[in-house]
Amino acid sequence: MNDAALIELAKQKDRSAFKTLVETSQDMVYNTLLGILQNAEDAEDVAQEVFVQVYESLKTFKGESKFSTWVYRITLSKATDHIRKKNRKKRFAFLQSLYGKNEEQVIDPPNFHHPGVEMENKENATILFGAIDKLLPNQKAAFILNKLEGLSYKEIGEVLDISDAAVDSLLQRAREKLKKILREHYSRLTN
Amino acid sequence: MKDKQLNDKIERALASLDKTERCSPRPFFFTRLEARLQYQQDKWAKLTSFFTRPAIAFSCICMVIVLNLFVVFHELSPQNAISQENAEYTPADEYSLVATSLYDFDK
Repeated sequence: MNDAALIELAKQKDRSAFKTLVETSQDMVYNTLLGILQNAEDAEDVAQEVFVQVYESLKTFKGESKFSTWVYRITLSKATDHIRKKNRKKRFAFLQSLYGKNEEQVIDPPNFHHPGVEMENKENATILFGAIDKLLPNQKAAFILNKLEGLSYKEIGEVLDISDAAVDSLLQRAREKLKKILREHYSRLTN
Repeated sequence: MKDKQLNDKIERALASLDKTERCSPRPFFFTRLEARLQYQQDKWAKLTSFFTRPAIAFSCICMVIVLNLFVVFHELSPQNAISQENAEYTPADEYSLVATSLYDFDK
């Protein structure tokens, strides 16, 4: 059964159609979120939020863009919301600790190890993820979609609603900034 | 030489994500998602059923009517009309707002 037929069935609250849609897109959602949020628990939690949103907004999906593009857009928007919420919590973390209500982890562990990275690249990838975390949100999204999801410039442009040339310039700026951050990092280590 | 080594390190780091495998969430993701959807629907269902209880709905409607009547009668009361008139004139007199231009002061 193709995507359009599955979507039509899922709109009518067909459980198995919705399950198939989730199962075919859960990896792309989770993988993107893992790259952006750099925390497995957060990525799973936000991935669930993404599919709750998909379930609730499916009736508004008109098929003007690809289903995957639409899901990527929701994923990026939910990731941005999550980061904003987490930053707000970090700002008020000292108040929580004063009142002894510090049950959840607000500050992420400093070194993120992506489980999909090859063994010989683990160390370099950890350093690179630290640098990615310092990019601007749209640069970070474009870089992750390109590197981890393997999307073309055209596909990234459709997700971010910008032209191919704008994607190219976004990725170029992201790479320049990453180089600068990595240079500072390695220079600090050698000195 | 040192600069070349540094550049090589940077390039290696940038290329470290090139052959990354796609990650999957933990098994039974859909089961957990279904539980979450169920919980959310239950939450809204509880809230809706609370507000649609006859006693609650009737009380809310009565409260809205009483508040509306109060506002209408308060606005229409003669005492309120007088106080509004005063409120309009007092500041104008106090701050000489009747003078509209510099020529009015010269008179």
